[in-house]
Formats: sequence, structure tokens, C-alpha cells
Amino acid sequence: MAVRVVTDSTSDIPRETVEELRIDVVPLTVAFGSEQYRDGIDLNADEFYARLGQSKVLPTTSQPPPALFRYAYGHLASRGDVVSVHLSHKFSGTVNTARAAAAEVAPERISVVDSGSASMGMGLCVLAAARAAAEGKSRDECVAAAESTARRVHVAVAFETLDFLRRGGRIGRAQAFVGGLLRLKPILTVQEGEAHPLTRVRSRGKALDELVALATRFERVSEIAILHTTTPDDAAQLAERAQEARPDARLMTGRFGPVLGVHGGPGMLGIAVVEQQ
Amino acid sequence: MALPQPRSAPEDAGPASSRPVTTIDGEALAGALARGAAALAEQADAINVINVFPVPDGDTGTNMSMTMRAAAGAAVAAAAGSPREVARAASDAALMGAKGNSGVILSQFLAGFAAMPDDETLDAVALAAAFERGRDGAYRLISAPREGTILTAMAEAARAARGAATAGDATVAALASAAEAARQAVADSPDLLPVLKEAGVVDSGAQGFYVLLAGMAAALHGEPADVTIARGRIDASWLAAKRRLHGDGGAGFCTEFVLTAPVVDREALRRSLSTMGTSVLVIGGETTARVHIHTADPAPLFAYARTLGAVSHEKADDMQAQLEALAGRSSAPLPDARSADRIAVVAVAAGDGIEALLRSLGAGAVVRGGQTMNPSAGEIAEAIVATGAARVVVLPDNPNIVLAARQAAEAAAQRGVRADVLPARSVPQGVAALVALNGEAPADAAIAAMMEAIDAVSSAEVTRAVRTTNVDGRAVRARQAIALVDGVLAAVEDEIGAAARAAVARMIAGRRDALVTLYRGADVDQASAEALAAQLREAHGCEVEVVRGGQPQYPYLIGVE
Repeated sequence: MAVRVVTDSTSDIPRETVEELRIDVVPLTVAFGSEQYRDGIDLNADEFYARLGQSKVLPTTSQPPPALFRYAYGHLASRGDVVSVHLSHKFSGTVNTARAAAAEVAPERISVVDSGSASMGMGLCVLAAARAAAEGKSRDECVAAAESTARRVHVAVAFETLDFLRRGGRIGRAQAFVGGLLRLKPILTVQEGEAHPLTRVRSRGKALDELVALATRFERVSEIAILHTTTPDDAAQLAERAQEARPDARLMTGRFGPVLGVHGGPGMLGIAVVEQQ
Repeated sequence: MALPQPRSAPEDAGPASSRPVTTIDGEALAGALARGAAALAEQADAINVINVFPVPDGDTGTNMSMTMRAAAGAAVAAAAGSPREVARAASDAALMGAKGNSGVILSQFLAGFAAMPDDETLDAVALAAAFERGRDGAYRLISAPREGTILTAMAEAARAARGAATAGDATVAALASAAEAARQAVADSPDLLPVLKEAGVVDSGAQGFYVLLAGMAAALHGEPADVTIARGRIDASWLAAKRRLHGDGGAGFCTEFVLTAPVVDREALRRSLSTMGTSVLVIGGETTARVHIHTADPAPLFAYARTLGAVSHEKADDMQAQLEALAGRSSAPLPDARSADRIAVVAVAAGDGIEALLRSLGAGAVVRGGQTMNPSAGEIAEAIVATGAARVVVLPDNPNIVLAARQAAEAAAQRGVRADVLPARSVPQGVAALVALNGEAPADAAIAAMMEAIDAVSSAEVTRAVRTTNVDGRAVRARQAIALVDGVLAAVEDEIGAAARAAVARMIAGRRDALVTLYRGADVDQASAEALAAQLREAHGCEVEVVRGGQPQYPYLIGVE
């Protein structure tokens, strides 16, 4: 049996890719007040952002309940090995819960990996593991593929505001960029599993320049992922410019899912690149 | 049909009340879990506001309460069963309904707790074993457990339950001991987890666990749950207000103290402190005030406070660490912010709006000065040294101040502080440099980014001529509006607005995606500035931002980048 790859819904991998590579996605929970939704199952990105604009209460997020991991692992590990790649433990307890469930269900068949990232930064690690699995690689090789990508993935995300990140408690070392009496677009990265300030700019044009610069910073780039919350035109422009700069790289575009949307807010635009080995 | 048994049969001699209840059944356990859940629901908001670790997202109380609500509902539905059946029902529901980190930890505790033998009743020994399994389950979840958290409360509760069981106590007493131990663990949490002490709170998860156990113990005693917040020191409004201030940025030292005097005029205190720093927060009563302020130099502030009354609870640790860093005497590793590779910024500017703006962007100190009020090199040097950083960047923001700034840098060098004077010759350039400042980046990289930002900005000053004169070969009458672009006369007009528009037209030529920033002076109102901004957007299709500068003499300072 081929190794099966599990991740959580914050990997923001497009649905077609998830289906094609048979990745199992365990949903986090998004709540508007007392109304709860399983991320990506009861609530997709389009519905979420439509709702975000109208809702009076600010949505909150919560890691998956342990039972979901137990169920997924129980089901998959009875047939073969499992590699489970998750959100940085500094953003969420999800990876700890996954580890505990793995230890209870079948420790000898399940490997849990902390991607040290989030969204597409982590999604690219998941894809590396899933592609290795599709090639018939062993569990250890799939883990190595995910971990190798985790070391080579670089992320830059431009925000309209850091209010959402701060309110959700995930501001990390980017605290220094909060506030300011000018309209600023902070650009952050993920380092050592948490948000780090990269730079801040004052216009949309400059923000796009900075994001494109991530693709050109590395000599050889094998993959580029571009995601947005509410600005498809900016995302399309960024995708075009990044692809132009690195024509050989495989390009993936999509939308930040609800959980990332809760913590990043409208206007968030991000790029992730994988530096070639 | 059996005859009624005599009521005095020796086997039944003791009614329950005259002999201690040594064990509890499934129904009692379910009732206790329900009461514990109810106590958590009541306290959820109070627990939310003290949530600072590991992620300060303010939802610990809600998450634990929702998790326990699911568990208790299932326990009550299974109340007719054995204690194990009740605990299993609660644990399954918690594993399914767990919310957030603390909820998941609680669900793992319940899963361990439920793995008990299937006896009809639960005695103290079995309860202690259940607590120990619960503790182990929770610890297994966290790869690098920290003490001073809910885990510590669970461990202490398990230890107390075991002690009570060994002493031959009844189940009820063992649970009460566990609750008391959890309460103590809550009280001790700030000593184990520094981030809690800093925030002035106890651990929220530990508190939630204590509330749960206290509720359960009260139910078994048949008493109303009397759950008090441990230590009584949590001041939610203080914490929330402080968090808001820190969220809004601020630089320098975060300074706190308590002032005690026969009469404390908090409003007057707030007003005078506002001249000495930012993010001023004063709360308290008639005779005491608790003060929070961000200031470049806490020493004169404490000295001032001492003239008003007795000063206590000063937060002087930070200052000490900085002084040591400056003198190179510190043996202990310094916190990141003071590391030798990080830079602090001293800016020179006039105008309260500009000063506030520069601080909000990360300037550690703003020395008052500008075109006609040049600060001395000594003043700038003092500000450089007072930042406490080993590496400082100076933004003169005016050509007339560059020399004084260089002198100040030399003076600072003799005192062991390396200061670089960047070529920011205008406020817009200084602002651009600060926007580009990344305190996380190594000093050289941060300075390079600031230099690049300065180069990208063109600046204009719009003012009125003080006398009739000849500037750069052009005749200017007194009171005419003039605009200088990068120091060179670019427009002479009768109206300030016309001079500003001419300057922008000159600066914007050949730029793509230009951003114009208008710093309106002390004598220009917001409406006039917005009207000018609208004209500029109309004329050039550019982005325009209006900032209240509050500077004297210059109705507008303008930056184009």
C-alpha cells in the first residue's frame, strides 16, 4: 500500500490537487459566535469571505478535536503507513494533538511532521510528501521530502492591517510592525515557526514589488504558490510577474482558506517559493 | 411478598449521614462533572481575559467551557451507569468536542481519567489513579511541557489526590484536596512562567482546571460552588488597557510604578506624564495610582513621581539591563531588543504630530528641532546614549542639523555607542527611513534599507516668505507663498495651495505609482489639507495621504515617493 498523506485544512491546497494526490485533510473549526463550521467542509473560502464582510461578530478558530485525528489515523493506518504534516506548533496545538492521536492509534505506522509554517508554506511540504508517496516512496522518504521542502520554502505575505493577526494572538515577532500613524502595508515572513517582520511599504505597487522580489531572490526556484484573501486581481498580477521572473517554476494559485482569513483579514496577499535543491 | 425488614437491622445501622461516604457512584460523578462545567461556564470570561500563554488569543475560558459542556452533557446522559461508563461518555464527548489548546489538553486528561476499572463505585484510591492517568495523558500531548500551566495544576492535583487516598480519606475529601492543590498551583504559576508575571496574571488554563475541580468538589459536598479567582490580583481592565497600548506600538522603556500620596490627582498626573512619554495609562483611587508609560528615559520620570508621593513597584529591571549593556558589563545574555546587533533610532523633528508619527514608526527618541530651532549636539548625544542601544541611527531630518548630529555621534562614540547619521534631510525622508526600519534585521542590513528608502523620496517645504528678497535669481515679495523642492526654490505663488500644487507637479514628473504625503502644519486644518489632497489626486491620479504634522512655520511639508 502506498503511504497516505494527512494534513490539516490550513494547508490551503486547492481541492483538485487534494483529490488528485489523495491527501486527507483534517478540518480546523471556524466559529462565528456559537455557529461552528468545519473549515473547508461546511464552509469554503468564498462563503467565508462573503460572510466576513457582513458578520457583526469576529470569527474565531480552533484546532481539530482529537477524535478527528483518531478517526482519520485509525482508518488509514489499518491499511498502511501514514505521514501527517501540520501547521507550526507556534501557531496552533494541532500538531501536538496529531502526535498524541498517532501515539494512541498506531505509533509504528504514523509519522507526524511539524512544517514550521502555515498555509502554502506548509502546503508545499505536504505536496512534496504526497508526490513522494505517489511515486511509491517509503514513509521515511515521504517524511524526508516534506522536511527537505520545509527547509527550502520561503514565504512573504503582505497585509492590509495587522489587527487580525494581533487580535488572534499570532503576531509573534511582528509586534514591532503594529500600529503607526501612517497607512502601512506590513510584509511578514515565517521564521522558526512564527511570524517575523520582513519590511513595510506604503503602497500597493511597492507591496507587489516586494512579493515578486521573493521569487527573484533565489537563483533557482522549483515552485511558486500565490494566495490571496480578497484581491484576485493583485494575485493574478503577482502570479504573472513571478512566473515571468521564474518561468521554469511550477505555479499554483489559490485562496487563503477561512482559518488563515480569520487571522490575516481582507487584503492579505502571499507568495511562497521553494528553492531548488 | 416479603415482609418489611426491621429498620434496625445491624447491617443497615448507619444511615449515610452518620458514616462518611467513602465512594461515589456514576450519578454522583456525572453530577460533579455537570457542576464543574457550570462553574467553568460562569467563569469563562474571567478566564479569557487572563489568557496570555502560549497564544494570547483570549479564548481559554470559552474553549474549556465548551469542551466541558460537551463532556458533562454526555456524562449526565450516562448517569445511570458505573463511574467508568460516565467517565467514558464524558471523555468521548470531550475528544469530539474539544476546542482550542486548553480544551484538547482537558480532553486528554479526561481520556486518561476514564481508563478506570469498571467498579460500581469510585473510591479515593481509584480517583487518585484516575487523576494520575489524566495527568500523564495531558503531559504526553505537549512536546516541551512548561511548568506554571494547566499541566502543573493537573500534576499537583494528582499528587494531592494520591496523598489523600494514602491517608485513607474518602473520595469527596480526595477531590477537595485535589482542588485545593490546583488552586495553589494557580497562585504559584506566575513564579514558574515569567510571561505571566510580566502580564500580572495567573495562568488561565490552570485557573480553568481549578474552577472545574472546585465545582466538582462543591457538588459532592452538596454545596454551591464557591469559586474565587485565585489571588484576587487579576485586574482585567488594566491588562486589557495595557495590551491595547502595546498593540498600538510605542518605543523606549515600558515603565510602570505605583504612586501613593494623601491625594492623587490622576488627571493632572496623566497630563504631566504625557509630556514625558507616550502610551500613558493612569488608574487607581484617591490615594494611589498605578502608572504605565513608554518613555525614552525612566529616571527623571521616577524622580518626578517621587516629588508627588511614595513610589513603589517600579519596573526598573529593563533599565538596569540596558545600562549594563551600554557599559558592556553584563554577563547574562541580554534580551533580543538590547542585543548589540539591533539598532535604535533617534530622530530630530518639530511638531507634535510629526513627533508622534516618528515614535509610532519606531523612533526610540525624538529630539525637538528644525529649521530655526536647532538642537545642540549635546542634546542629540544625550538622546543617543539614553536609547540604551549599542548601535544607534540618527535621522537629522533637516540639512541644518546634519553637522550637530555628526558631532553628537562623535560624542556618543566616546561613550561606547556607535551612531550613524543617515542623510535624511527632510521629515518625509526621515519618515521613509523609519518605515523601512526592520528592528529584526541585522544592523547593517537595516541601515542599508533605510538609506535606500531615503534616496527614493523627494521632499518639498511650503511656507511664506518673511521678507521681500531674491531667491535663486527669482524675486519674492514678503508674505508670498514659496515652495522649495529638495532645498531649491521651485514655486512662488500668492496662495499656499498653489505653491504646494506646483511643487508636487515638479516632484511627481516621471514617477510611476507615486505616493504623496502631505504633512499639514499647526495652522492648517484637516479640511483644507483634504481639499488639496483631492486636487492632487485629480491632477495626477496618484495616492495622497494627509498626516497631521503640527509643525510650525511650514503650512505643508510634502513627500513624494
